[in-house]
Amino acid sequence: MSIAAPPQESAAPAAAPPPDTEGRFRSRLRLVEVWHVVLALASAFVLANVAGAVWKLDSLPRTLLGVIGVVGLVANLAVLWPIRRRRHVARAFSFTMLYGAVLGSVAMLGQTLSLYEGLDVFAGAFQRAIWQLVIVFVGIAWWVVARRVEKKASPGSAGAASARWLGRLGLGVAAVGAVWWLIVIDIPAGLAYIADAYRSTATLSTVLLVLAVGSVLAARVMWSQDAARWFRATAKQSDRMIGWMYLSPNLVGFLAFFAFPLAFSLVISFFQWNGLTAPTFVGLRNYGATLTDPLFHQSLTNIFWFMVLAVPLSVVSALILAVLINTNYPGVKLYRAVFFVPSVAGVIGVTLIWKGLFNAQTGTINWAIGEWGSKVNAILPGDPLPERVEIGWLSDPSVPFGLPQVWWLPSIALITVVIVFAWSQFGFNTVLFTAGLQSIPRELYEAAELDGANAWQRFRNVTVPSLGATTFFVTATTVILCLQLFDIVYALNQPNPVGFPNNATLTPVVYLYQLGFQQNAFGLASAVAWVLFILIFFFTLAQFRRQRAEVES
Amino acid sequence: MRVRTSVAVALGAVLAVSACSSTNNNSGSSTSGSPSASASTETVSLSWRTRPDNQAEADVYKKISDEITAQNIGLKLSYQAGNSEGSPYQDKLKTELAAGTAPDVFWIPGSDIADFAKAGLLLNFASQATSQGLNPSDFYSGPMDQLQVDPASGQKSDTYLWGIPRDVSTFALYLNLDLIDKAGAENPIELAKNGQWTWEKFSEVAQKITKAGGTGVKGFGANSWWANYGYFINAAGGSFFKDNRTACNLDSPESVNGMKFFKGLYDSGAAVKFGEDSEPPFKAGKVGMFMNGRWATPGSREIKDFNWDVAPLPTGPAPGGNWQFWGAYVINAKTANPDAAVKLVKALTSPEIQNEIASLGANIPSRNDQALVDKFLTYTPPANNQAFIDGIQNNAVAEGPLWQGNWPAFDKASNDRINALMNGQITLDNYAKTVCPAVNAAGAFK
Repeated sequence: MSIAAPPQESAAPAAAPPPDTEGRFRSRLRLVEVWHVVLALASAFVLANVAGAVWKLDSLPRTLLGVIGVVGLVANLAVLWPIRRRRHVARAFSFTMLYGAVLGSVAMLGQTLSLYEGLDVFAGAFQRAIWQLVIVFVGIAWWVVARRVEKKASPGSAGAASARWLGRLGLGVAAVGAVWWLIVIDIPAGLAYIADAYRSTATLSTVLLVLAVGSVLAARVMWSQDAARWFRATAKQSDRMIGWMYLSPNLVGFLAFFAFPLAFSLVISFFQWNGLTAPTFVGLRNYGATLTDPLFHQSLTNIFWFMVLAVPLSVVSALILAVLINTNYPGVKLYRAVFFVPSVAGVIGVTLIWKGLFNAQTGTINWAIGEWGSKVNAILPGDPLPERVEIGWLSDPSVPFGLPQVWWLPSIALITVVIVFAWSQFGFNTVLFTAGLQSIPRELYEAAELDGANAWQRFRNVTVPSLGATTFFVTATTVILCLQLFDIVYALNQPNPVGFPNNATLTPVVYLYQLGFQQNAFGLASAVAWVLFILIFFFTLAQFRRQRAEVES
Repeated sequence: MRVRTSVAVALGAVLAVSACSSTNNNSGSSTSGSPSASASTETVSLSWRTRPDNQAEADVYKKISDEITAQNIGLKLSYQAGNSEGSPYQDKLKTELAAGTAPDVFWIPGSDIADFAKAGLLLNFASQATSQGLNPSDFYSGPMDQLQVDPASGQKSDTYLWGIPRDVSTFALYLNLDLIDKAGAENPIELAKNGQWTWEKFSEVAQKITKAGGTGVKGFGANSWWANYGYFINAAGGSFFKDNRTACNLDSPESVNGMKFFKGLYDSGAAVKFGEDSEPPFKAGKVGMFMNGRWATPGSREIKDFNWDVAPLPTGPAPGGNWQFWGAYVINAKTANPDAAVKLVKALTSPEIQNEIASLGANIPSRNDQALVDKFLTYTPPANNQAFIDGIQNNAVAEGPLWQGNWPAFDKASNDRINALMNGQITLDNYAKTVCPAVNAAGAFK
């Protein structure tokens, strides 16, 4: 299914091909039609085996197979009609079905041969053979450099010959590294494993292999120029097919791993389902239970306060820092890179470091506060500050500064999460603001200076308005990240229950996780997810409209 | 273009093959040496998974898997290393069960057994166990009482067997002997030997360590999940459940007394702040007595800055009350080879393998076998391994699922109330009045 040589036709339908070419294509097209019938039969076979599961939803894999069976059966038979009528839509339709058949067969073959288990632990193989891979890459890089030198040298010169020789040497190094890599990762064992898995599932694996190979060959026929001519495809229609083909890897991933789960969660939100046994339809009861659950209300309150604190902290601090580092002083690029590090560091690793810093007993933060208190007390009379504090940054559900203990005020534990989030987020925001600052024309500042504006006035009246679009983007993305907060809370709470202490750090996504994966209430968790989606959607929409109006004004 | 396509295809094939080779290496290097020879018609391929406590355990499980395959008992094993402690092991497993891709044999915590069995995910292998000579009575009765249950009635029945415990564990007090000496407090190990290790003495030692320890030192530390406060409830004569685990008992006078003593420890300032992870301060030499399970032993063995050992938990108003933690190897109800899976469970819980795992320090054999206990006692440090054995054998309460209820709902609702109590958001009276209604409202006993 190479897309290397797409058919290029004129805007008008293609001219009729020579009769012998047309005859050959007609024969191949008959085979494609037969192949669609074979795929329809295969779909019917799948459907017959899982028919009972399709509507009961008692087994997700069987239900999925059932849906695939229905679609495969209907579509593979339906495509025959436009093929017979030489409708140009038949080409795209047939190709799509064959493309899907290839993907489906290969995916199921991977499952049958247990390839995914292997992929699951592939990181281990990489760890074992990382140096051999480095040798491969060094060899390839060597070859690329030598090729460039060869191209720049005069043809036939001694330099070109030396570069060619060096290039071959680089390829040799890469080949040695590759062979060594294959030995280290034990390629014979892998081949034996596949052969063993194939032997134990010979019939199914062979059928899937035949379906995959046959579908590839059939798809090649429908992709060919002969097919374009036969179905009188215009250049625009061919271009569109190429476009969809390029888009397909992303589209398939989107449909399989985003759109389908999204739609499935919507369906399941109307069921009582533990994720393991047959679900029971409960209508809107899950939504009612969600909206009336005090824990959900608490999670919304927590996330409201989290946003109120975290968004300004991570946006304003990023703006200030961006202004400070938006200079051409030597070494400033290093600072920009350093500030960006928290954004690319692993959230869990970073959070675990913060967890150590925040430990009430042995954490550096409480120690530093105590030390600071000691220094101040040494200067001021009456020892006004404590020299030893045990602030429960991770464990205290009380409201800071002695404020009244009411449920709608943020706790110390939640403020800790705000600090970690803002720290991990502000570097990325700083980079965005820096990019925004560098796009502001210098003339604006020069004109402001001529008008006698001081630094603050230039910042207030030139920088801030000019950064309107950037500020909107940074704020919107930060708000969405806030609403999706989970990983930091999860890591900070270990080994306590997630949402600790006493639900003070319970966010809507943590609440959803507790319902789904800890209490096995996947229907309820899906309903929470959809309520959260609606909240995020309307919140973002309102923010978008308001800020767009501000930017435009 | 053709060259590039060929290279891409070749790379893809190599990746797939190498992925499988790494899988195979996980399941056994012995098979990779003679792949075709091991694939005889009598050999059954099985996948299995457990949750190791640390990397050393993960490596040993992999080695064990290889060894079982090499024994030529008709099993060709593919070991899938599970996430370690604290990682979402169960989340992944539940997803795989829903997708139908879970291993043939896997380990789950004791509290999950009922939910999995009631959902039809586990194989009842009572008859296969009998025919293969796998005797449930060889294991501690605490876990087996929860593994031989009729899901319909919630009563013990020999016609059911849902799993075999991989190992057991229990709480002990990890002691900083230097802090205890410095405080001039009596040694808890000696007090226990003399039968004087009571709650009063425990509180006294904790207070002395706190006072004498200096800045930031606390006498006692524990974590805040259910078993930590649960011990004080049990040892006071209370319990989580009543009426054969079908109703809440957290509001009984004994249970409330246990919580009163527990809260008193924290209110007196002798304990690490409730909810803080007590392990880092203990390792930093800032905690005199740290309550944790056998799984904390490998980490404690890294301590070089002070002398440490373990003592049994103190005796409260009622005898015993420590927990008997356990998890079990269970068999996927959808396995294609139930007999082979039982054979694997039998092999994985054999005395030899239990001993090999126990020697790493994190677990205690689940077989009620004096020879294994004797060997376990030699796996030092800590010197006083007997504290763990005493914890198990002295009226321990087995961690257990709710066959007639919903453990996650119970845990969540009760933990919220106990958090509120410990953080001073509600009084003890308020706790006693609200804890069981909260648990019931959460659907713990529906």
